[in-house]
Amino acid sequence: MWDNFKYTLLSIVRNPALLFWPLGFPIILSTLFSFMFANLDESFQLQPVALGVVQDETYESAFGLDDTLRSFDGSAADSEQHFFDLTYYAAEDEAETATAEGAIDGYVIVADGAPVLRISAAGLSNERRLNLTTVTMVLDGYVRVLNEIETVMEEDPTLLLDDSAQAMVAELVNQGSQPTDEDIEALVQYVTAQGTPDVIAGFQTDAVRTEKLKLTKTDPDSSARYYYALLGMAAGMGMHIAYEVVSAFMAQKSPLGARRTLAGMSRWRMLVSSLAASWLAAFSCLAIGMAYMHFVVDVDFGDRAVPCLFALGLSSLAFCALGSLIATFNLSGNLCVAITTVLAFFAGLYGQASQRIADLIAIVYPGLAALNPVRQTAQLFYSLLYYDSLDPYLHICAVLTVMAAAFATVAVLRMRRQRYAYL
Amino acid sequence: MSISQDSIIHVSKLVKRYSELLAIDHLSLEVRAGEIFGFLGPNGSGKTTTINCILQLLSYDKGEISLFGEEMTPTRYDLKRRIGIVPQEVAVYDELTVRENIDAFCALYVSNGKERKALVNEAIDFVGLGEFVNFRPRKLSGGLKRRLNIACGIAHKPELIFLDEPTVAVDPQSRNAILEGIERLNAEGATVVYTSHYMEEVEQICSRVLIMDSGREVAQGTVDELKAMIGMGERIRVECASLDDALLGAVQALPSVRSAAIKEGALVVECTSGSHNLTDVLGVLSSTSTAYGRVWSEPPTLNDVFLEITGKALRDEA
Repeated sequence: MWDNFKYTLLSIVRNPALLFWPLGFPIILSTLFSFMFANLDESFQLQPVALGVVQDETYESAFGLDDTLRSFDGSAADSEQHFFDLTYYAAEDEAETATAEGAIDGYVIVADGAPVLRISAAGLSNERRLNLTTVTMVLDGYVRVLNEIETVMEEDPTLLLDDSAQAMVAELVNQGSQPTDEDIEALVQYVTAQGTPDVIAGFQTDAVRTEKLKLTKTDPDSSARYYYALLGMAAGMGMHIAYEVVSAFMAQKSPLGARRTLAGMSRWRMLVSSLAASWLAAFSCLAIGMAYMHFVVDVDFGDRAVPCLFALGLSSLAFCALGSLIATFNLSGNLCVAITTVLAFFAGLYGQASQRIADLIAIVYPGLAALNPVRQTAQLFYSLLYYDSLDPYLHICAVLTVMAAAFATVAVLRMRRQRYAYL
Repeated sequence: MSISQDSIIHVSKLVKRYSELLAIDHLSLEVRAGEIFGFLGPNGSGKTTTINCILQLLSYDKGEISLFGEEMTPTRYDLKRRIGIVPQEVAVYDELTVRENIDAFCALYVSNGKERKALVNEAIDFVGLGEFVNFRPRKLSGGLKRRLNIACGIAHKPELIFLDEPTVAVDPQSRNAILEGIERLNAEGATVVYTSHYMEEVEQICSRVLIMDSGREVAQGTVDELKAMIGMGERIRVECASLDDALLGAVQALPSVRSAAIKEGALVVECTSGSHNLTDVLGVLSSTSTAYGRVWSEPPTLNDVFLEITGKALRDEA
């Protein structure tokens, strides 16, 4: 068996045509994808805006505005909050000149008590519009919070105070009598010591601001689905290797097949060793393809390298077993390519329309979707990337294991005592 | 039908149909140990089908097949390990070198690596491919490929070897080397079943011959027995200065003459088997005062037997 495995593997490795689909195909297509999706991803990524600020008297008097803007400046913010690179100008003329010269994309000035964004014509371009949108969102948020503070101050100013100050006021109220001068003095001293903006910050943090929550382990990546489906398709193309290898000992396929059929080694041993050789070749191709995707194309596979490799191994095993089974029938090898191509459609490889159809089938007929090994392969990577739990991954692994075992068993049974009416 | 003790192949009343076509019609044959058994027949006569049935590659409708005295089935790998196959078409791995090819096929029969290495070297020497061990088949000439094809079939030293037209499309030197090799294998103890269209090859190396036509056995025996079977004697050719119908009539009147004709200025006479045919023909020439030059007397060939038995009509593969 070992020798048959060795020579089968050697003949696969020396046949470039066999290796093109499982190895060359994912590398070429993932490279094309990377060019296609590069612009798409960039258009959704926020780039820091070169923003000017006219730091005149009106700006200085705008309550909390400078603190708000600085919190998004590159020097102060963390990488996720780095929206601006601020430059301060003493007068609007200077800011206008800098904008005209392209040194900044626009500037903020306080007019009529409210911050206003003034931008250059270049800032209206498609590439920069999204980035400048963040400025308007920040300024709008500032104005909204300011208005809310003003409203609260009119209705119940104590709500603006932080928890400690509010507790002190509540104690005064609960005393049921006129608070003493000492109590009021203590409250005034506390607020003065903390500084009014900080006390108000408590209000902003607890009551107004919306916090960002992560529902998945990793940030969603719109293009990852294509790459995962591509790996599934490449695994499917590995089916062709097994088909060719097993066909090489099917009597009706070639004189070589007839000769090997007559040999002194049992068919199941030949099948198992040939299947193992084709699996190793297909798996190696996929592993190289995945490494290329990860290190060259920068596709995110999460931090679970070993389960990823196991997923590839299991997927290629299922497809190789299917290729072996197809080879036991008197069918063309093009069928392997056709099957893979169709399955890849229902795994969402061919664009958003095919993704919608694939998702629809998964919702309406989940059993049918589970029978698609290309989709299952893509889902393996999805489950590893986005889920904390390994349960979905293990579930898909179990499905693929059953598939591989079923295909291989039927192939062995078909071959074992096979004789032909015709050759 | 009883099986003799030295029987290597025993086939009894084998029937194989391809739908309406009766490919093998109640064929029985026996190949004994140490023989080179020739399988002859026109295209489509059922030779290869018979061999494929014997090897259990093809299913068959009726009949019994035993190899080495035991019933042959598709899973009798113990029997298969004692057999070597050299198919008509070159059937090797294009991606492997000569040595790797021979080793790969030998490995299907012999698992011990050390033992196999010696067998592979022996097979390489046997077919004279020592200079080409690292060549891949596509770089070999037709004759070398044929020799590789043979090496792959005999490396494991089988007791029974099937050679299906192994000399097709090879040059005379390679053909000679192949035939000598087959005789050497036989001398070393292997029983050989040899299929060929080349009658002179079969006549040269086969100890017994079976002629098939339309799926049936039409003759079986040694070459001499087959020649005796058709009753054909020698073919006599005489260059004569003058030939006329009277002379031709006198020759045709001889009791041992089957036919006589004038071809390209020569008298050509086909005789029945007899001990003094040449003397009789030359006697007629002398009695008619016909001057003659060179004289040839050729005994009948297997080709004559084959054409006599199967007819001269053209055949196509079914």
